[in-house]
Amino acid sequence: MELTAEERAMLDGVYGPAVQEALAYQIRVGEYYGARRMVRVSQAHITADSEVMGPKGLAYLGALVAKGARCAVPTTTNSRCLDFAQAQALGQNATLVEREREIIHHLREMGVLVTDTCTNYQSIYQPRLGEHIAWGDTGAVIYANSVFGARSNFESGPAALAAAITGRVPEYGMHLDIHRTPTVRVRLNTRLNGLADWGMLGRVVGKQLAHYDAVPVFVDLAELEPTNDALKHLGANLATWSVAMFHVVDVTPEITLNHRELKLNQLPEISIDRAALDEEYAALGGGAKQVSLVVFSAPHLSLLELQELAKLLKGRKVRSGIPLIVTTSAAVYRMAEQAGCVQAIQDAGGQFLIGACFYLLDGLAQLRVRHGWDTLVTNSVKLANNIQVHGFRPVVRPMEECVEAAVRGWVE
Amino acid sequence: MSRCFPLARAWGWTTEGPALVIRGGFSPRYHLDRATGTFRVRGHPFEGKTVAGMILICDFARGGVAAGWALYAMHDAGVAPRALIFGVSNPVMVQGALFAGIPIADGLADEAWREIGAGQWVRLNVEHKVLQVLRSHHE
Repeated sequence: MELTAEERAMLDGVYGPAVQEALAYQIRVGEYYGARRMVRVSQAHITADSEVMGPKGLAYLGALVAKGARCAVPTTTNSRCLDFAQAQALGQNATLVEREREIIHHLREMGVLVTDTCTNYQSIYQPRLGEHIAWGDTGAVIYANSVFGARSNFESGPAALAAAITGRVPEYGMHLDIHRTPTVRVRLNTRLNGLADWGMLGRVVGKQLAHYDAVPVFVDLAELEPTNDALKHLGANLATWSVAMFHVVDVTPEITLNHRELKLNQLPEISIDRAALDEEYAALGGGAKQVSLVVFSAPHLSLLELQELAKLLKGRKVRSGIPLIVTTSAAVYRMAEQAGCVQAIQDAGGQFLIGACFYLLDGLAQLRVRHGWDTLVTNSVKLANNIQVHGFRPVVRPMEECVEAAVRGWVE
Repeated sequence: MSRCFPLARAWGWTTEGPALVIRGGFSPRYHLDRATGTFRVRGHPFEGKTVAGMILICDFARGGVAAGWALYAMHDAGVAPRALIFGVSNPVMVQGALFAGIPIADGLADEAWREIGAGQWVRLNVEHKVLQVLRSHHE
């Protein structure tokens, strides 16, 4: 790779061993992808929690701090595997809770802003068109690439950490124009009802593409006037199939600026109808069922989603023995508290996990057994995708049906 | 006589072992009990089987940012695959494999899927970017 004089000095150890090691690792990744050079980033967003890092990841982080690692750019953290205030009540392992505290301590020593949210793009930072960033939540990455026109690859925990330390990433994939042009046209032949449908559309399209280089362009979604929450759920579910960018004609910036030159009608087309969505709903759990718990999570809920949930729960009571769990960031929680949404949800029997993501919860498979949880009802297609490995039977329904399920104790 | 299939990209060192051939995508977060390296999704064709010590061959890498740390932790616990070979990979899987020190390759040619099956003994030749099918596992 072509390195600048500064980067050669970094690689020679002039800036210390942490920078040296981080850049050497990034160069290995860059060489794998044939990157010509490094590109500076304005911000990093890292996944660093004990559920995924394990003892060795914690030891690595500690060693990095001991070598003098410091963030070169503003760096935030992704959702965490616990909410310290709720960990004991949930029955999470005390050793793992302590390990989480150590991770946070190391991150703060490096200068990381411990924000703990996967929706940083809604509550923290909205990068501009063309801004290079290094984000480490796939849902956040696809949102940044698509809705803001910013540029990021999927950056895993170690890769985003390296970017935070060096302030740059290898220039490949989504940092290059050639990988951002549409590869397939998507036509929708049905209406979408609520965020669950938007998520399901992402899943159905993503499943057909399943390729990091695939960039779908949705040609007729503008008339549905998608909210940022709708695009959030669409993107998060495309991303579970490795898709890192999408366009929506007359909605997202790059296609709106350039689509006349792109000859979209020459692209292959896939067409999505109601039957395709319903088939996936059924695949993720159909039929009437007793409900164990209802969860709103993945991605973190926005203030407007919490407002909607509060309205639906007003004057209702969640059935005894059926937890209704909501996850969001500390920032959004505080705003929702001020707006009265938190009280309304709690009055109905809802519980919050702040800064945590449900499917990341440390020891979730064991928690499921301990609490006797089986069928989980949610409006999040991404959550349904990710919790099957922990033994849950997911059922995806619109938010209003999830609330009914929580109140009645069963789902149709 | 061994059969060889070209790869587009490869990193690591030449290694060989039993093949675990997966269709329909793979992600450590979506599919594995990462403490043991076994598939834990109910009804998955490999439910209960382990990836530990296997040459994991898969059509495509799925999303999920976890693979970066997860492969490192699995390697430390001795339950990681010996190598990862994809038809189509993604950056998280590549970054994770390089960080953990697990050989990885992608761009496996389409014709390979008709020839490679579970239980065969395969070699990832990183230098020449080829996957060699050496023999049936039980020979």
